[in-house]
Amino acid sequence: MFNIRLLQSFFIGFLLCCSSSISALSLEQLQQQLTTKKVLRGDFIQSKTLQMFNQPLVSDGTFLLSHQQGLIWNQITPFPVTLVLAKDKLRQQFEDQTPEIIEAKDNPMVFYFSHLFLSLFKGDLSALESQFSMTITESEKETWLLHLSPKESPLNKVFKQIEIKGNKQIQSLVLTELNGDLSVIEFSNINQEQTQLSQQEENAFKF
Amino acid sequence: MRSNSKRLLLWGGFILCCIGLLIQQTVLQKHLPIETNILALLPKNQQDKIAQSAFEQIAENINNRVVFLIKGKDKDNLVDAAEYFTDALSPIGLFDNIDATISDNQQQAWGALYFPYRAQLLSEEDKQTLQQFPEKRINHVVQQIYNPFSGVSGGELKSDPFLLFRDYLSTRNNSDGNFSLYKNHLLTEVDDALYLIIQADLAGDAFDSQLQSLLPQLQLLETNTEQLFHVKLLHTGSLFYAAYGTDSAKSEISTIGVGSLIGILLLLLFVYRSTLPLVLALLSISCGLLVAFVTTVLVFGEVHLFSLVFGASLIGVSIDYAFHYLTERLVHPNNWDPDLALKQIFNAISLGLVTSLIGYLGLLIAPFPGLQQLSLFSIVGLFSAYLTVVLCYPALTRTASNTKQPNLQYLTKWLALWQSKRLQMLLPSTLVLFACIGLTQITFNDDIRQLQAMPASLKSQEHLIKNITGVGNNQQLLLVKASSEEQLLQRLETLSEQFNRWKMEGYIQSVQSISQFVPSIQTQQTNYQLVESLYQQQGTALTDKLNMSDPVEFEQIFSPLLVKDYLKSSVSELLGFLWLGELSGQYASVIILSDINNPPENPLLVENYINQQVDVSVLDKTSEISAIFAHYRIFIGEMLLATYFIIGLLLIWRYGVNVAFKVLTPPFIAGIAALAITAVFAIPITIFNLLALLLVLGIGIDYTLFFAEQKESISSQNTFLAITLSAITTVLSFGLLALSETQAIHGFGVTVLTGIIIAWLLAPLAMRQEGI
Repeated sequence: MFNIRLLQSFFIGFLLCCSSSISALSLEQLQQQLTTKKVLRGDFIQSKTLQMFNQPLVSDGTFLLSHQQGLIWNQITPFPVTLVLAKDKLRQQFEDQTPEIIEAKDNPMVFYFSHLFLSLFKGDLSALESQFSMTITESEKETWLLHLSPKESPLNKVFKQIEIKGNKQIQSLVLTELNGDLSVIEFSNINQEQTQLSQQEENAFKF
Repeated sequence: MRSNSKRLLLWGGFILCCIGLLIQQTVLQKHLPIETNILALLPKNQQDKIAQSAFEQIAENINNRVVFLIKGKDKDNLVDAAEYFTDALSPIGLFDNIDATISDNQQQAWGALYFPYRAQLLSEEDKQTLQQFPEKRINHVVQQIYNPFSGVSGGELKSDPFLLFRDYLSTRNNSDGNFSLYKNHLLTEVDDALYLIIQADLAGDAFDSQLQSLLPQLQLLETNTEQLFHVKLLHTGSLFYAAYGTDSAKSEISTIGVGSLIGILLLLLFVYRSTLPLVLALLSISCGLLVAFVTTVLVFGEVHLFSLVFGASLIGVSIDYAFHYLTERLVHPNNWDPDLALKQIFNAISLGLVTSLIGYLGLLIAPFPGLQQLSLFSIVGLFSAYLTVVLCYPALTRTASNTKQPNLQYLTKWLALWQSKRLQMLLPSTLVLFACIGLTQITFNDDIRQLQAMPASLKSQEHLIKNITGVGNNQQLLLVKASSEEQLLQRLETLSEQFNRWKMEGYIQSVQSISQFVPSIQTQQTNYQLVESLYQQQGTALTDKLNMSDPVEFEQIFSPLLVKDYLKSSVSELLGFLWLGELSGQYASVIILSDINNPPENPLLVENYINQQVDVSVLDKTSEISAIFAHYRIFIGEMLLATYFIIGLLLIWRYGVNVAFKVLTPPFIAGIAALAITAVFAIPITIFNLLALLLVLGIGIDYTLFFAEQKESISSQNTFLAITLSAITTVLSFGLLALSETQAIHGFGVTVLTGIIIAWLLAPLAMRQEGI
């Protein structure tokens, strides 16, 4: 009488983001590169182009990725909100409200995607191999493009493809849904130098 | 002589018919008519037919499921191992359904089931928001759309602009789902080890010996998989326990059977030094067992393994009749007359048979299938062994015995001692005194689990699997009844609401109820109205806020989601069995609570609440069976007293008060002393020990009756020889029973063993006192 609920197809998307580049890249090299960066900080602009909206929904803010701890997603406009993603917890907090915490065991689907997302972030490409077929293309200006197409459900029920573009720094992430709806996240001002987390950042990862 | 041969032919013909029937019942059948499910022994729950069928449905579902876990370190290796294992598993034919992978279809099934009814389905939290602050929903939607983790797609927003459906789906899905999907397999990580789960449904009954015989193949496959992929395989399920039970019972039957047969053969050879007595003794034993088996199968359709185990012990009783006859033959080498010999012992063995039958007849009327089978088996077996002696022996033993009489001096001396009044008083009263002290140590135990041998390795695997899968170790099944489907769903909702509150408090680990998957129509209507007014009141605001090209409009039409829709979907595979549907004019369903952990200040919080609900009953088979065992333990106790009483009357009628007392006292003292010794060995007294006492009475009284029937002292010696032989064989077979791994059988063995020894020891008390 075991009650392992089937994970259903129910689409919780995700975003991903990586870092810099070099030439003649193989997947192994890219993975190598991505995993050496322990802490990444930067700005983002997200733009969602959906058929049912008259104009794209645009948001911006800052982010922090710690390989050990997880991801902090700090949206500033159009309204401030902080999202913190750790191994098995997700917290959402609006300015002056009490934070809302989702645990992996309460919502395995959300974490199915967020784990995937984190493994992308950490450059654990081997973990992605089973779910995506991946190709890297390099253009003339030292820019690489990692193209991911989902192989299996539930991802292939939502996404047509995911593309990550970068040169020395990661530049953008484009998620294309089956119906053509687009989510584009562009990154800028990436800083890899400051590898220590501030006390405030440390606290953010404490649940 | 002619009439002897006729009788022989008659009985021989009958036995041949029985052999024919036996072949028809066993060799010509697909399955041996041997039942191993312990529950089949028990009386059905007569008071509550719904509870009975509820339990049967649930038990069938649980018993037929097997869970495997593959433990390893690498995900891909685990998936490879799982694929290898499941590919090779299906051809074995043990399972008709193996769930190792979650197909895309299954993943979609939840969405597919609920999507058409989305306007009628709300998570608890959303329902409260919609009731109190519907305007808050707009902000929530906007936040979700901006949230990169939420993954709101255009398609979803179009069909469900307030994003209510995803909340409902994720709350349907959240209970103890420790597992996550990897390459369509379910994996979890516990203490740095990865586990992949495979579930399978048996192709038949867990107690089906045909299926159990396939287990060695499964074992081999498991070992191969472990070696090939360097993983560890764990399994649990009733099948393994049942198979273990069958195996141990089978080996016990053969040990006991073979052990006592060898003992008897050696004894017969030693005492009679000739093959004819050997053949005759075996003949009466096998006729007894044969006719008993065939008759039981005819009446009950099958024989329970337990009847066979206890039935094997009949060897010790049925041989009595043979021993008395053969001893007559042994001591009359010169003036041998088979008919006269039979006449000599006829009264005694007939009385012995009648007294044994009185005890068993009482069991036959008990509405307890196990006891009925046991008593029918014993009655028919004893009667056939008796008839074999009476009908066949004279015709088969026309020649006199030509072996020397064994040296009986030790027996004679023991009998001589009994002439002393002092011994006649002292030995029984010492035993009574001892018994009374021992009886103060008595404890009773009616737990059914002592009937089943539970090997530690299976127990620990089960425990580990339950821990890893997050299933509680103690589950409580609650049966809820109502007069209609809708009323039942409403009741389930009310109950689940309370249980879920306690779950939040940590008093219950998990709650499973069909109402979690199918809300009542009442709830669906309330939800529908809430959603409709949300669209009406907040639709425009949402359209404006997101600058949507088409305004948000409510277009859903109410159409109730029914239990049958849920049951048709593949999502009901796991818990659909909780819905029992219509049973005897009522609708019933089961709620499962795992690991109740009441708060210290109110240690019976949950139980008290359950007891207060008139339409809820606890399906607790273990305690129900224990109650039945307790009831029948008392019943057999009373039966035993009644048997003593009836036999007492019979003896008084035949012998008068004085002799009747002497005949009845030894088996009585043997009974209480055996009980006392069993208690002193710290074995709890069960229904089976009382059954043992019935046997002690039946056999013990045979011993004293023969003494009482002897008119000459020389006959007393012969009688004592026969009794001694009989006691040794009985002790041999029950001594082996006492070695059983199953506690109930072990206790039974100890009681019979000690009872028979004491009955033998005291039997000469019934001897006529005219001097030796």
